[in-house]
Amino acid sequence: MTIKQSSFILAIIAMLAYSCSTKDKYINEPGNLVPKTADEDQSIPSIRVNGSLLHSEAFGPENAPLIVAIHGGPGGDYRYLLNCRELAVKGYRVVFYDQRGSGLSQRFPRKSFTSLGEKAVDLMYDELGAVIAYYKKNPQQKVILLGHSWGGMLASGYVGRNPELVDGLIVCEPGGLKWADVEDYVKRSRSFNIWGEALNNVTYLDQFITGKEDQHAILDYKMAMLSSRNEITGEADFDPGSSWRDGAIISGALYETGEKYKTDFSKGLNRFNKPVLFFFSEKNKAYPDSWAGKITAAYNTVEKIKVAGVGHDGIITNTQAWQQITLPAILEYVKNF
Amino acid sequence: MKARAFCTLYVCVYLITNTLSAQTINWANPQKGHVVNANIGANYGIIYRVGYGYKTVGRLPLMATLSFSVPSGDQLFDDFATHYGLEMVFLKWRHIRGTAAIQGIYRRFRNDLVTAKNFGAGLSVSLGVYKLRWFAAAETGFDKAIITHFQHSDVYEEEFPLVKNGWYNPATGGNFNYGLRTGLSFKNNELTLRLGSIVNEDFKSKPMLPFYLQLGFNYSIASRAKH
Repeated sequence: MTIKQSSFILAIIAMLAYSCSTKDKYINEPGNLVPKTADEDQSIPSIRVNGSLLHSEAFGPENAPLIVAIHGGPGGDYRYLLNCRELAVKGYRVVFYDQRGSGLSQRFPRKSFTSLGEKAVDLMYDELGAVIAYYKKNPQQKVILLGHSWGGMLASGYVGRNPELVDGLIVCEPGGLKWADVEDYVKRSRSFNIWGEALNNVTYLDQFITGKEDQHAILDYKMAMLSSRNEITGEADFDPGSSWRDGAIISGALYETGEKYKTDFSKGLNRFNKPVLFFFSEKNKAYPDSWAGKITAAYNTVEKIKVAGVGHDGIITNTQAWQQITLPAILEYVKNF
Repeated sequence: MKARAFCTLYVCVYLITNTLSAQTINWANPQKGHVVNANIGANYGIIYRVGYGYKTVGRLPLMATLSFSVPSGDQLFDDFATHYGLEMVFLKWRHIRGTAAIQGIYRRFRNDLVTAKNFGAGLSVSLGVYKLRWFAAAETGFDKAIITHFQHSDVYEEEFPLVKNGWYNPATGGNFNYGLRTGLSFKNNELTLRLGSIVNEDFKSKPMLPFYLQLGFNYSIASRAKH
């Protein structure tokens, strides 16, 4: 055997020996690369509903009309919606919660969602119903849902199934309500030049970090890295944004079941006869006026407001737009409740 | 401390193995000498790569290689990878060759949120037919991200102030690949093609770009062989 061949074999043995050893800091340990969740850190404000520990807070008088803020994703969290706390100062009870498997709420295995088939989304409706029930202090208390993006889809779906339980609906740029529209919107809002930097930011990290099916900390971290900015919609680009922790499993599972069973978030909306307040943004290139028109056709009565100078998240996260357009319109809408 | 020990070990391995990345060459070529190559393809992004190799001859030839690659993008050198190592023929029967390669890898990823630097290792084997004018072989390999350093940006630290920067190990990732390599040889030149699939080490999940495709050109500069 030559010296080079001996060296070659020695190198293989050395590398294998090292890669089998154990060590210091683990990427799958919560608190290292991503924050801990409510079940891992008792200092996180939380409520337990439907067997899940949800990161949740509420502000404002307990018996005032309830405004439930519902975050986007699936797999986002409510941190970027916190401007809505101002509604509490105006006399409303504002509720925030991270949906199961999202933000700082408890994580669950992928199969706990996918094994439910088309009823996977029902978990989310049931959870929203349970959150409302948790915070609603009297039967006369009005309930208004305020959903952004995926939160708008979830809120619309919930209202369609429970029109009698909701008094008002405010939605901000839901991608679509019929599944075909959801796919269309996602394709247009996530498309990028294959020669551009955006592709690397999505694909290159896969050779540095890999996570197994239910290694939430790793997968959530990768999701945060991959969705760091979007030049089409403006998320974390020309719009300010902030989040605690992505939920990769719930995001993938709900998209998978939605695609398979063609989830319809507009089902039953024709039974909801109260006015709907609908916001969309001027700078989200995937959400032109024509798209807003198409999506709002599902509501019986709707007021559309185009928020100038911002993108998808900026409807709420842009301080100027929030103060001058979004908040005044919401206050005008809810003043009768 | 462990990270420093690893770096020392890694440098030693690097020096022992001389350098390389598994370059796609025609092992039927009887010449020894230098090989320079360039290729473009898709492998965790749209990748441009240049490489150099030195090939020995004999009953079971060896090739030491070194390559540098960057993904396409507005910021060309924010992400990159270097591969270095050895590939050797371990089986030779008529026109059939079996090869094995070991690579050391150093790579970097940078976006608005993090700069990640990784030391990795790659092992691969191939088996196929090699003739003077052409070759085709099946290949499979494993790419292990052995140890990774994370340094997060102010943007990420504002979101998660308690994030722990530094070296992370044990291994932070690993992917298998399997596919084909083929090529045509003429004079001192070779046109090569590699393509195949990539799967996570759990054999369930896949990377965002679950395939690789590499089109390459090799130019050989023969050394005077002693017979």
